[in-house]
Amino acid sequence: MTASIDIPAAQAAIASIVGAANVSTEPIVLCSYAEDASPFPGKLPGIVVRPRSTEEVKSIMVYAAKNKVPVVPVGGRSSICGSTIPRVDNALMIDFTRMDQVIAINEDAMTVTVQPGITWSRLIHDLKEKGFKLGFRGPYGGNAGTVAGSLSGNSIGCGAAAHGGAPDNVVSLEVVLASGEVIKTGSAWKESAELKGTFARFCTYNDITGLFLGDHGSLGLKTAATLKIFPVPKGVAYFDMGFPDIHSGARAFQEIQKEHLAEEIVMLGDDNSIELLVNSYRSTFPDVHCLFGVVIEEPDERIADVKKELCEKIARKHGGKPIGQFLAKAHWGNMFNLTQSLFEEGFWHNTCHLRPISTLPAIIDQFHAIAKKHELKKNQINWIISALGVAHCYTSGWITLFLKDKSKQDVLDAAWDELKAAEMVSGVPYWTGKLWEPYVLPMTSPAFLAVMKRVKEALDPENLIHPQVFRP
Amino acid sequence: MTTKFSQLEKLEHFIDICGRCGDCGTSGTQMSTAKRHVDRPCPVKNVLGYEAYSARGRIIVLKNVLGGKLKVNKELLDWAYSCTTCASCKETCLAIDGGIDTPAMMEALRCDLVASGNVVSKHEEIVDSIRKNGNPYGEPAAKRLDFIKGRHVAAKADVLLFLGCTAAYREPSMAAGAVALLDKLGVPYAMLDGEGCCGSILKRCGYSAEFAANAKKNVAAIEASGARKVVFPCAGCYRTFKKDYADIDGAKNIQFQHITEFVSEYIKAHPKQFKFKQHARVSYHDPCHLGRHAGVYEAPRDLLKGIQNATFIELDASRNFSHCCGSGGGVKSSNPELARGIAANRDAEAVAKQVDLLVSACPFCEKNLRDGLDGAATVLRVADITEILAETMVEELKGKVAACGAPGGATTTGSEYMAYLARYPDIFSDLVQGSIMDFTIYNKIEDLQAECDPVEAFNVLRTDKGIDITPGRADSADLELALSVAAVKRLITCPTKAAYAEQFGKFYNEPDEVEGWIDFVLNKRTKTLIKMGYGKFAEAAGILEDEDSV
Repeated sequence: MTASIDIPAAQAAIASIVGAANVSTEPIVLCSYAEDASPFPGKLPGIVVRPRSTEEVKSIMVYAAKNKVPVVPVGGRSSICGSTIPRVDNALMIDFTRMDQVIAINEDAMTVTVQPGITWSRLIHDLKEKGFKLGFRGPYGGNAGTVAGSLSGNSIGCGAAAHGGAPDNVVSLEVVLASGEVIKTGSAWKESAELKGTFARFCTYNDITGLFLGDHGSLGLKTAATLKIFPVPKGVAYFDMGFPDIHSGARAFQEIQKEHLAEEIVMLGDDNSIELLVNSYRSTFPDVHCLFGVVIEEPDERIADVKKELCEKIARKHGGKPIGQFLAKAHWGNMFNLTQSLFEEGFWHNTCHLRPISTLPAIIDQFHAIAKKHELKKNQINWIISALGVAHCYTSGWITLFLKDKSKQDVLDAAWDELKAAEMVSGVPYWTGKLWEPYVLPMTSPAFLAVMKRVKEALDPENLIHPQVFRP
Repeated sequence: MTTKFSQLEKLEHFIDICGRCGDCGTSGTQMSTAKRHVDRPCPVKNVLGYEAYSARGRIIVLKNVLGGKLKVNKELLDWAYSCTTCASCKETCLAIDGGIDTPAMMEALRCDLVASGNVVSKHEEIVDSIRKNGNPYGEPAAKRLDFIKGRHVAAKADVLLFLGCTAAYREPSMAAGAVALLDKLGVPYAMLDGEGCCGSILKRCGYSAEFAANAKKNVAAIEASGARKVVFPCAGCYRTFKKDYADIDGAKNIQFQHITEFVSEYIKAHPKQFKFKQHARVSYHDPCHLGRHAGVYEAPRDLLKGIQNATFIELDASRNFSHCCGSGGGVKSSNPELARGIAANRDAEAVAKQVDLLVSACPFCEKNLRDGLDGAATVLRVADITEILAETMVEELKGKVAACGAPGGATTTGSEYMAYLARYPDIFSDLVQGSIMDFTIYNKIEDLQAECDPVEAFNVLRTDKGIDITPGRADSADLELALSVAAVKRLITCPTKAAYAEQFGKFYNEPDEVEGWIDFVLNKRTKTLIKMGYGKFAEAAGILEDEDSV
């Protein structure tokens, strides 16, 4: 699909809104926005604009609506599922990274209101300096990943064991609709309300906030978000647990999650993953074939210590043992700096998905059978498995394949397809994008898809915002 | 002429490795526990805004150039020369050891562009001037030492002062500062009669053949002078000689030092006192050529921190994560507005910290940071470290100053710990040669968390023969091992290596403010550290503890 746009006219009109320096049609600039961190190629945008305020976004959208210009909103573009790449040629891409300010911290309601393009790393830092922390801290790509990007893509990541994924932590949103109108959600629905004064999400009407969460930027343009915050903890405990096999590790993992003991419970994987992540552990702990790290954060050290004791008790009950705290501490201290070192293993084919914790051992066993069938090791295809706890009581499983030798792409594709099909039996992807759409759309109930379509048509009748997303 | 990308193609593998995570462009201030104070690392993107100017964007653009989707034209030429090659992106990148080398790719592209006749007219003028005058500024060679007119300079000495073109022709106060500093220190030194351009600008802008010829000429001149050590006040010249001349015959026999390294070493043997007349809040701007490119971070800081009547303020973006001044990579000459914009951003960081005096160690940085102040209502003074040291040197000290331990060499917790570790070098035997770690000692954990200076610091280098223990922090330590004073006092009483390991592991796994604690700050990727043997080191030190086997 190619949008028919008068590019020079659009550039002039948008420059009058944001200033000439903040809109570009230069081929060099355009091509740098046609890709994100996914392996999928994107279409070339026709214009890139970098607004600074809601008012500017509103004016841009009014222009786009009037002239039927497709619009693609993007943030840090660190998505590995291909959620931010343009699906149509010549789209107007709105780069939100210039809207990167903390608007207000509301200590009364314990919320922070931010512009959409602030990165998770910057927000965490700014809050910490003022004595606060977020619940969900951001995806593993949170150095560059932006808040609105994660809210659009249903990100899971740091702090999810206690607080859930990115959408779980939202109180309210400010959204510019396809018509150019601006709405505020949650308790900010009143005409006179300010987003920074919002305090409740579920109130008075339906959860309109939820409509725009996980929408992959297709239903509106998020221009501000209000998130929950908490005091910086005074009691913190870290520890690592080693297990004889994946089954016992998963049982302990589930029980710790059932009891809601951990801020973070992470890195449940197999021998191969231990080898790839921390190979020295294989010789240090030869009887450990599965491990995970736990982080506990509480208002008081004594509570943290008690919770740590409870976790240890659970681990021992399931055949595990404490093996120090290095892994959990390094993971938490190097949040967002962990996955990059895997790039050199060959560009990754990632299957992040959600599932009940009890089904983890089975999918890992299934994957091992797939690996054996396709002789992945022999074909220099490595993998890493890492699961983290997600509230309420489920897990995000992370099985990623690394292709060292490009000539083996067909082997990887075959294994990857089988793996994704296997994962869909008892799990679901949390992000979608070009990675998962081919798999999930044919499996989706027609009635569900019809509702999705009617919602899109109601909010964006001209199909202008991120067109082709969620379309078979 | 058709452009062949023969140089760029040699680095094409970097394009495949890049995961396009975006850390190099938009990453915000990171978790302070990791001490990775990256804050929007690309100085060019911070001014121009678009992705194409960050390393991730550049890699995508280069892929399109190599794929034939983007043509060589003026737009591409302007873009190619908009990178300061500061290497901030490389430092931020965790994809491979040392990071993806986008600056090298940009320099390779420039070589290909120059080879095919796609040149910037300003750069052509510079090349022509270097050829004719021995400097890039179109100035007569005879005027190089005008700033010390009438003063006799020795032609031969063990130490040669290599001023560089920018100090000599554009920053005479800095050139004078360097000369005055060595004079005041009483260092016998010579200067080359007919010193020429180091050729940094040639290298950075893609004139590889001209660079190679110029470099050979310079090395020959230095060899002929008989000097055994060359000292540079200019970070650009220093990086060029130390790194880019490395393969030239003759260069290997000469020691190249930045003036901060030289002075820092010199005053350990010949103590001097430095003092500001009026109290000053002083900060240091790391020149890219000195810091990221050559790994010198501590010497200038040690010197500035040694000046009395001053408070040293570390900027948030500092050391390997320092923001570039904007002058490098030929940007100052081909795009002065961009260079000024970058400098203004850097100046603003110092102003935000209420700094009175922003000190650098490079004439390019000094000039550009001063240009960045243009019109700004600020009292910020920008100066070079040579000027400041020459200005503040007051009198000789009688005693010897130790970096770790009390003045006069009195015994301290740190020095006792150094002596203890020296008795057990096999603690470090699992580390690969060249591994280096900082040991820092703190009164309380909050000081570590708040990134206050430790009470004492030393570093341990794994050598082929064992270990070298040196007072002070290393320039580029693999990790920082932080300990409380109480922990050190307990550790150094351990009678055996096994007892030491057990106690060490206890302090790490069961930290206690009173009994003692140990913590780590990892400066390299965990994967890299494990490859270097730190995993085994951790095991031997009792950190990876199988509690059931204890």
